[in-house]
Amino acid sequence: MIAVAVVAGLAFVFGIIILQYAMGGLVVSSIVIVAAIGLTVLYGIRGFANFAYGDLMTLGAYLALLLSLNGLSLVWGAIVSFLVLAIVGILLEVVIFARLEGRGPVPPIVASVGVALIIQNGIRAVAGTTERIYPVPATENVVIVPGLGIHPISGILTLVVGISFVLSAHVLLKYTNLGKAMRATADNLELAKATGIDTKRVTYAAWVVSSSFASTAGILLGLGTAVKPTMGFDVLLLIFAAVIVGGIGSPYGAMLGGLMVGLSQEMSVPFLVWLERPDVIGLQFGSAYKVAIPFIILIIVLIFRPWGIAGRRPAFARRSYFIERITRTLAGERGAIDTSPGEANGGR
Amino acid sequence: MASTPSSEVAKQPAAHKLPWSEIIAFAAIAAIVVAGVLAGVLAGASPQGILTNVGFYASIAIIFAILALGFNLQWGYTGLFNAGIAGFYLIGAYTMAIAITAPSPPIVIGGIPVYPGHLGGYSLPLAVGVVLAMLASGIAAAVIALPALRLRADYLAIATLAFASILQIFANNLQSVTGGSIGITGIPKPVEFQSADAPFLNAATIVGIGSLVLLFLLLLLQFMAESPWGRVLRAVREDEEATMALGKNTFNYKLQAFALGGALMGLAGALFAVTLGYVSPSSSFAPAVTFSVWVMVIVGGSGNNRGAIVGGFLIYGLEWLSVQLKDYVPIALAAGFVTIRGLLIVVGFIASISAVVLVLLSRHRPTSAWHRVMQRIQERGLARNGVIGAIALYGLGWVFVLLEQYAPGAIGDTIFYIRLMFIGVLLILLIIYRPEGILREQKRVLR
Repeated sequence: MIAVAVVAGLAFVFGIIILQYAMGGLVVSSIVIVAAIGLTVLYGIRGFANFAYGDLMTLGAYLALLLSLNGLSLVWGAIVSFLVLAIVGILLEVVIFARLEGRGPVPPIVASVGVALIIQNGIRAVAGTTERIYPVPATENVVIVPGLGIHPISGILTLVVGISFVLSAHVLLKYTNLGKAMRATADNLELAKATGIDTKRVTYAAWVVSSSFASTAGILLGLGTAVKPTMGFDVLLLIFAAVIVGGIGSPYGAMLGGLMVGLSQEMSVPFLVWLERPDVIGLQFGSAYKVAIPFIILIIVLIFRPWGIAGRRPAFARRSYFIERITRTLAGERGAIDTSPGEANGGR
Repeated sequence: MASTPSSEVAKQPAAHKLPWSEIIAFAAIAAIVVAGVLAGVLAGASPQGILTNVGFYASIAIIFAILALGFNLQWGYTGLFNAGIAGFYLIGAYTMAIAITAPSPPIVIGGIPVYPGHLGGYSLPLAVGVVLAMLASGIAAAVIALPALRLRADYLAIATLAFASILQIFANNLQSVTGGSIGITGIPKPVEFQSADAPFLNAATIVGIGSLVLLFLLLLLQFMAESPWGRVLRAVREDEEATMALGKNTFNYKLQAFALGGALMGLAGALFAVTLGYVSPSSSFAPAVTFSVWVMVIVGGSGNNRGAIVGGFLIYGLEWLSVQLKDYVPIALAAGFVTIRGLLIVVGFIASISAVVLVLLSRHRPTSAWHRVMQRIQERGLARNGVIGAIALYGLGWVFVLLEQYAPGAIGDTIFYIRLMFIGVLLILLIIYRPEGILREQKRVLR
């Protein structure tokens, strides 16, 4: 009900065009959410930020492209790419990342950048740098109401696949033994080991989920725009922003974060276009700055809630330097005017 | 952070051993220069042209060495992982360009804007530009570090990476400040030569100034690292909680180290702007720059300033060499291409099969004499690495086949991609097998 009211209100105030941007935002969000779940599941269990994630997406997109150009349908290409990426994930763990366990967060980051460079430039060397598109039938937008349309493949299909991946991630994590083991391991590795969970198996499962989700996210991204060697690396920051905004390591946070980041990026476009007008500030290429919006949200979240919007606050969370200064100043000022300064620091 | 080698391993004193690491490092740099000069001789370049080219290598290598020194201060000494080196470098370069360039108004030809112009035209002296560049980058580093310094290393890495990407977008699109995709041209040289050999003289001046700056920085950073301040930085890296317990405000120390490192990167950017004479938001400030600097510091030895400089000269040397060789390798390859490709596939295939067979044999016949030989091999992890290496060879052969199939004309450009892949392989191998780099961090003992 509230959602319907908000949608109707937005359309009433800004015109139907705002709904078109919101629709675009939802489509982008569903891609970001699939990728963010994959990234955050791996983070929760292996404890490092995988900078190669964007390039795993690119790899998945190119595998599907290769297969679909050689006679298979794109659906089969996506399935094969899904499976191949799962194997690639396990190989990465066995060959590289297992050797870096217990050496802190930085060595795996460095190694993952190495993997990213190898994948990205390998693709450039083999497939060239030209943009490709998937061989899908060209279709017109489906018009919902005049002025509001959605593309059947890059819109509806993406939304459906995104939602089904979110649901399957939910079922996996909540209702299967493996999912419970994964959540337990992410929560406390030592405790999970002590209760007899095979954490090695959980690690492999996390890699499988992570990299196969990357494959699907990459294909969806390729359907929406084009397939090119830097496509994954270009959206990596968006995915990181979604993961951190939602609370790093928490799949449900990633869903929320992905929604926030995708919607805000796309819905900032009309505002940025408005800034382009000479009587406002005459910004050039305003919509190019839309990718900066998630970054601003990321910084705000890092300052005020570094454990994420949906994440649990750590018991001994240190407040950020900024907040400490600001609350102290505010408390000091308020103390002089207000008679109840005790509330200033009490909120959780 | 456990990422850098702790100094607890006490080896027997090696006072009279030759410093092999240093010898190997300098021999490698010398080999790169010699190979580049040879490529120039083969191309029939004039001696002065070759010298200018080597001078260009030296001046850019000095810039990368300064970037590496900055990153070494942040990561090697303090354990703060910066993934946005390219961003601070960009700020330095653009600040310098805006400060010292003469006014360059927008150019419109036939009603079509050709060049949007840019902020600045202040024609300030070079030294002022350098100071401004360092200030701008240092302040930017402090601001970006404020929200992320109290969190885990990953947050800082992600925040700085995002910062660098955003800056590149701004450089590309904020035309009224940065000149858009064309950038800022006509940045004055330290000395304007008029004679015919001006390029050579310019290269010589830049290398001279750069070497002096680098030497000064090395001495300064060595002094700072040995000072009580540097000791606190290393303590923060090894165990921040313990350092806090000793009453040090670790946040302030981390902020200082990060901002100072950022300022050094700004200095590198300023030198870059002067060396090239123009700045544009192209590949000079791409994320690949950041990754190259990581490799430089890791190869050289994190926590070792001399190592950072050696790494800068070595890794940039590879890039320079790949540019020098770009024109010759395709010709050489065209003749031997089919042979090389065939050899790679055949040798790789045989090696893969035999390595797999060897591993299987060693597992299934535990009593044979062969098994004992295999056990020796296996103990050193040779079998597994052999399998990986052989499969890699085989795959490389097929990469060449695919290349010929799909992009026959792209072999020249492919060298760049293969170089970047090589950097990736190097990053992984180094971080797994030799995280301490060529020149280790000096061991420090209480006296």
